[in-house]
Amino acid sequence: MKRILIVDDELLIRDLLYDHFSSHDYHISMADSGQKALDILNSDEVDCILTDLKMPDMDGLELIKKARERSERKVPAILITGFPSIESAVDALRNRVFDYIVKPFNIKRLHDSVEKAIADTSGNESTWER
Amino acid sequence: MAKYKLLVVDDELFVRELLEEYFSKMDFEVIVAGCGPDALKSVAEHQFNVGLIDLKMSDMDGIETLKKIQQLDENLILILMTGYPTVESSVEAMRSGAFDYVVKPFRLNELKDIVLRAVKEHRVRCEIAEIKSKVAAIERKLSAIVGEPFCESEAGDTDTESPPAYESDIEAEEQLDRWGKLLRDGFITRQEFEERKKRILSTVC
Repeated sequence: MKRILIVDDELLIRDLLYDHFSSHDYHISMADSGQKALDILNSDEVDCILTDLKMPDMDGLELIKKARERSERKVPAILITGFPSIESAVDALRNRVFDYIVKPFNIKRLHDSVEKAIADTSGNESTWER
Repeated sequence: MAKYKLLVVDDELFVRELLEEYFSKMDFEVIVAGCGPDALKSVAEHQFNVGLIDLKMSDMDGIETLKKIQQLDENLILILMTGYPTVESSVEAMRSGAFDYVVKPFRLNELKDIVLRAVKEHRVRCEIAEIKSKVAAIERKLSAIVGEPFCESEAGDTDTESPPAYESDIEAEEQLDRWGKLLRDGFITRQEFEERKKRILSTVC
């Protein structure tokens, strides 16, 4: 069973993503802040991080960078945002974020991206060195 | 003589002329193409360092042109430019392997900084490709000596002695030859050889 870490300060989004992915045989961990997500990553291994970009304590890209510093595993990460900009999208992709998805999102589009992120990373450990 | 080669792909004559004039004054030889297919012909004929590609072109768009150029030259650094920027196309461009996504109208000095960063990235990519090629050549030679393909992961890592630094890959290759002969003649075990090989290959770079 693949494991996803969902990070969003909005309860509604966490619930939506939990309902969807848990009904598709994913094991879900959830955090409402970047720091809580890092605490989870200290003890649990996940196959994909799905995080909101704009959160009060640390933004999603900062969380992804910190998570990578702490682990040698190349966990793919997907950013979700309700405040998209070309600058932040280019910055995210340049920093090896697997995908940048704009809210309100199509859940199938998000699901496909999660599946592809996990498949690509498990098949190619050099994903970060793209 | 120009130090670097820049490819400019844009269906607008004004943009091609502007970029050609600007970068030609620096260390760049600039070759322009008015469409994707012409760009592919240029890439087949020249060794470019960097390519600037317009996103919206009529016959073959910038993303398609980028992907086809990557098939011809995987080390070439490609930057997409557009006068119709969207978050979706920026994500698609970057996920397709673009080095950057530049919005028109741009400041020429800012574009210059991006292109110069791309030149550095190109140098790094070429160096990595060269090292990989050298290692692959050594691996092939080694396989020929011992008569079977090598598997890097089989090599042990128990020897803590510091590996000697070889002056060149040729010297490393000679060392591998010697150890290969010792293996073939039964003086050392396969495991000892693998350990030695791993240490020698680690010094080649």
